[in-house]
Amino acid sequence: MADWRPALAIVEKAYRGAVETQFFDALYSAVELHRQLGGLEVLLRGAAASYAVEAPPVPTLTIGGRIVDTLNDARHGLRALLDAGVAVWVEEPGLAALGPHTRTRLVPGVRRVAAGELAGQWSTYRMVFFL
Amino acid sequence: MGAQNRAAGVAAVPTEQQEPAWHLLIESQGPFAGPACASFLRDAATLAASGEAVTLLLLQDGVGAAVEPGAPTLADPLARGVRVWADDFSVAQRGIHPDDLPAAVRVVSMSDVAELVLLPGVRVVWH
Amino acid sequence: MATAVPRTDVLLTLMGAPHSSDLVTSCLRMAQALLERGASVQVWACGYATMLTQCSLGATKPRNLAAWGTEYPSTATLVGDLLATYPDTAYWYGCRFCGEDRGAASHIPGVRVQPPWRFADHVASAGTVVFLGVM
Repeated sequence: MADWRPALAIVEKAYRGAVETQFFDALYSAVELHRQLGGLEVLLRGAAASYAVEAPPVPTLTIGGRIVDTLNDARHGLRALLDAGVAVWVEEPGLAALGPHTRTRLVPGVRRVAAGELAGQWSTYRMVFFL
Repeated sequence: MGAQNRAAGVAAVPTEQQEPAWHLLIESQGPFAGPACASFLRDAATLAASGEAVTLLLLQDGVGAAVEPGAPTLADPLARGVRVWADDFSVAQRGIHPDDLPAAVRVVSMSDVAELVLLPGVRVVWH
Repeated sequence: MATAVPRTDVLLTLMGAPHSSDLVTSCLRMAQALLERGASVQVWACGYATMLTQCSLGATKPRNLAAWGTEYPSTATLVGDLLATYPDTAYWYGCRFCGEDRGAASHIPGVRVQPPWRFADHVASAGTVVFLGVM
């Protein structure tokens, strides 16, 4: 019998190569996994919690004579996830580690959870993996 | 004057007579990497306490060490005269609000870092 | 007979792997900032960093299906741009052992391959040496 429950992807590591990754980061692959697996939820914690915080667009870089304006932008990727219907959670300690002002600057649609809160629900997901 | 400046977090300008051993310590991993970050910050504090001129650059995830409530890990290095910088690109990338950075931490560009790297006799350690 | 290593102000020894952190980004940013200040810079790429300059990467990254018309420069292109913009002050070396160990043996023009035993010559040829990341 097919398992139609969503999968849970936990993202902890962040900023894994602005120049070499550019668009294909964990959030981009999460959109594709959501499509292929038939449903995905994403939990941001640790360093990746900052993906859930509103911020201006990523600055461009100059390398050689080239302006590189195609660096990955986590907030753009997060909005793409939310627009695709993916539920996005962020753990409170990761947000707290970014300073008190982050509490009022969450990307709309992202939901806060306490540390480890979702672990009690892992059995309700089709699978759980780190991304 | 040098010790006074270092205590205030202000870099003493090197002169030909002084020939200071400038140390640039670069922390790229930050508190999320576990105790290794604290160890490196302790190294910066110890080096400064031994009389060396030390600049600690927080880069990439390292900027997390400058943000409240993680900032207490910087208390000892700052108290021992370490000059603490935070990389502007890394701060912006993480959406860190400037008001959440301690006043003693200066946000710098990579051009500022390059100026330090090019000082004669500088020693750079990247963590 | 081994050729002499050009003297540079700074040697950046890039040890860490790409796609794991922003180490490569930081290395390129630092190299750019140093070169803009008129300094000479050599980068010695070790470990998986040897893959940054592979011909097989092509000029651009694979297509982004979500942004079909956008071109994303490959790391090989970016390093090539750096070398082309600063032809007299920028140098990029790949460690021969690390490259061969990882199947990264075909570098873009301008990248020089060196045997690991010559690393000491590069250290000796630089004013300041920085080790970035670990393998």
